[in-house]
Amino acid sequence: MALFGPRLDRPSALGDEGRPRATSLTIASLLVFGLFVVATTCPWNYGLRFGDGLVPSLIVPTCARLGRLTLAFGTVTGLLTAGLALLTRERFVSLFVGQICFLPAGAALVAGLTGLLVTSPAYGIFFGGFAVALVALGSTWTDTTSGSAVRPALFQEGLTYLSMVGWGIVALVLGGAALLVRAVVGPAGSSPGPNAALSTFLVVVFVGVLSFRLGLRWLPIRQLTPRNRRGTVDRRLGQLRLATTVVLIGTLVAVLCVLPAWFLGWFDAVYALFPPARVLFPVLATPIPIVAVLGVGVVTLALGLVALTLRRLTRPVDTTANRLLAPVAAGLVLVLGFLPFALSLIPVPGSVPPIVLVAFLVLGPIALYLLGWTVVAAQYLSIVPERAGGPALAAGGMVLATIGAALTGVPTPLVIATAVVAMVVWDVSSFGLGVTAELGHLPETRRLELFHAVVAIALGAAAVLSLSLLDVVRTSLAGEVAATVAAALAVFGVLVLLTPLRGYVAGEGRD
Amino acid sequence: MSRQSTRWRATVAAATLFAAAGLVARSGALLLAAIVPLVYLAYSLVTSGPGSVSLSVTRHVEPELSPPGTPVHVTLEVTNEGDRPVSDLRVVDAVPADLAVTRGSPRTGVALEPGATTTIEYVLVARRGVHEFEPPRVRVRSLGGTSVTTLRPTVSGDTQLVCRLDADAPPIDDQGAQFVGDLTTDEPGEGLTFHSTREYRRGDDARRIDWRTYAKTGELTTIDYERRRAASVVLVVDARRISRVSAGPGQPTAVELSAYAATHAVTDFVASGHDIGVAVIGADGPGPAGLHWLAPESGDGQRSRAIDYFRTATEVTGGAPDTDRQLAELLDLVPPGAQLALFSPLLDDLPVEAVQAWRSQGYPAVVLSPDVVTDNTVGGQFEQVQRYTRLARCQATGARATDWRRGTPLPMALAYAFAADARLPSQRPTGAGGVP
Repeated sequence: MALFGPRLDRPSALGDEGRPRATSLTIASLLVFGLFVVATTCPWNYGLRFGDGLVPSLIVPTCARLGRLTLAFGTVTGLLTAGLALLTRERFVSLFVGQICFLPAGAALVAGLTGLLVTSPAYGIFFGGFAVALVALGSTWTDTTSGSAVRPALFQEGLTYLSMVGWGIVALVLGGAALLVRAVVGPAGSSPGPNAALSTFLVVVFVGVLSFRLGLRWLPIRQLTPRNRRGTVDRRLGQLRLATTVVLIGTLVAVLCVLPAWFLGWFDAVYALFPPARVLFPVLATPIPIVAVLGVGVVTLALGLVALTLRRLTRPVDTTANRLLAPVAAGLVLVLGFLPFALSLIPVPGSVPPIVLVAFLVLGPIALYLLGWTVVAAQYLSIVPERAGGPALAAGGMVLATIGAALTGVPTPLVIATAVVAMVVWDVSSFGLGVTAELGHLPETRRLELFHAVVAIALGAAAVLSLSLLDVVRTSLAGEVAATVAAALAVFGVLVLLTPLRGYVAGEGRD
Repeated sequence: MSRQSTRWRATVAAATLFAAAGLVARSGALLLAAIVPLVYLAYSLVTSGPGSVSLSVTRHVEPELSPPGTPVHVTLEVTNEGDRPVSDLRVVDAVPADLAVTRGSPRTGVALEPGATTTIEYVLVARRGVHEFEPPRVRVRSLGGTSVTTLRPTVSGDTQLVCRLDADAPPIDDQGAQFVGDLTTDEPGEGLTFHSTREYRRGDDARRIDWRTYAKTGELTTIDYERRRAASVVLVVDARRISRVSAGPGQPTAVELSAYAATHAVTDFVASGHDIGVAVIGADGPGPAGLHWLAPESGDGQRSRAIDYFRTATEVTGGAPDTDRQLAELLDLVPPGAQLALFSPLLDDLPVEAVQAWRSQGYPAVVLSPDVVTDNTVGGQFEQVQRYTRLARCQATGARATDWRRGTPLPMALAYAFAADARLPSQRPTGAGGVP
């Protein structure tokens, strides 16, 4: 049993071939995350370099700011991964929590990276690459990189977005109605006129009785009644329903009559016929009758909603209903409570006008939706391998991050280290995947995986050292431009020399 | 057999991308980074040469001869006999296709030093038959993981698992209890428990003369004991199609378990001097109404014939004969006073109706039901409840119904099923059980 919330893994996943062995995946994850922390918390980012005249005391707070950025970035990618994993489940709670995690985090990440790409392309590529790598590794852990896992998540994300739009429209209508009532009744503290007071009271009675009626429908009154008294209770409930229906129709008709009478000035005749009405009507809009009528309705409705929620959570799994209902509920919660949180997650540096953030929030889910379907299409077209999709995306993300790191002016050793991590991530992940495919998850293979990873990392360390030395030689012996041209020619020559290997590499059997 | 991996095919693309980006951005760092994928590609190519690998493989199967349903421990040891380490060794033992691994894994992956040994341990559940182990499949990869060589090394040690119904049933001669039978009756005769004394008759065994009375009175008297006699037991094995199911892949079927239990019971009964009959229902046999029928007799030959019938029951694959007619015919064949012992998983109502019919005819009956129902699904739990209900219905007829749960040793289940009324001296079994 999970200590809190739904589990991210499930026992039935053990033994499948969906993800590499844990040791290999742990090494890949540690390398990517460690490099990300180093690259985002050290002072060479954002144009800060040692020896450029900056006072070291300025560096420390900058590092702290970048550390927060790392934390926020990791949180967003983690929530996105967790949400994706939960959206492959069938239970209502899992789907609901999955939407709460997936949509805000994913939309904020995509929107933020898009903004970063527009405002600062180098940083956009750098962070975008790391985002792809982190999300790919996370979803590899949870075995949700295949198209069959992503498709239902995207379908539900679309439903949640539509639900958010619907709930947003409802919120706007209700807010507009409240503003209208406020404008009609007058500002708070001022006593309303008798006409406005009567209209307000009738509306309150309508809303209160409607809430009461809905709450009554969902409360398990009959089920909690002893069997020998159920007939009586059924009869009373029927009478109550009839009475509330009559009151609802009556108040609705009264509102429809009062409003025209108010605007046409017919109330003067009423007051002339019955002068105490001018004193009596304002009393109806005082807190005591309003709270009494509205309170009964709202409390009944709240209890009914609790009962309905408990019934939904405890009934047997109905996959289709859950997949439809969870986005609706998640949309409501997101509209009510998560807008400020989602806004705070967008990692856009500098001061950005709020309207831009809101635009990102509106367009973010659409961008996330399109990006998700792009991944699915890439798998369908075999651009991304179906079985090794996670490692391939992670390595691809690190390749992007390498380009971004070079473009942002990160020191050469770190650029080379990022390229090495891309290769190691692919190497150990695909190796672990092969071990999983051949041996499953049961045998103990840690020693084998560690041996392979150590060799790959040692090779990478040697490459970083030798290429860094080469860079020092390159920049010290020749000018920047001449050295770059020479290096380009050297790489081009190596690639040409590798052409004969193409047939060798591509022509052999699959691992 | 060797082949090459394609894992590093994408490195050329990565190198090209780095180089192109470096040229466009005029970044020396990116151009240097383009060398990194090529380093890994070169490394994988350099280390992909074929290497000589010398391995010795030994397998132990314990026990090599076992009855159905019992756990069998298999140990496979792989030793690197070469003088170079093996960086990536993956071994998958060839478990016979009919058997299932219940604990451990027949696979492993290790890096093996020269002279080092890796051990695979796993547990199988035995099924009737002779199961040959093929040589394990061994894959050796190069240091970079690019070159893959698949081997089928020769295995020393055990290469087969033999599973027989009578695997743990000792020969009758070893039992040593050559009684006529061990049910006591109220009739005077030979036995162990004192019954009465009578006047001596010519030919009475001198060991039965009551010498104390002779010393007192001078007259010869002979002691009579409660006479011991053998019982006739007909073992009925349910081999119908519905009973040819198992608790999971590689597990023994209910028919195999029933046959195993019947074999064990036959050995005990024959050793005790009882007459044993056999009937197999649900299989198309040469006897009346398509029964496999063996009339009650005693002796080692009868045991061998009974075991042959049980073996036949486990091998039945054909369609279902008229089992109702077989059961009706069985009632005509069973001699008066015999007991009926039914071995059935009770997966439908027919065995219950048969037991009810036997009891209504006055035959003592015993039911031993091997449990092959899994209860980790709602459907399985429902089926288990129905099975328990059938056991209770059998019990309600006066038969002794025993549930042989998985994991319970068979001798214990048999001892409970046949916990005899004969423990009570001087009493014929009346309803439930009766044979020790």
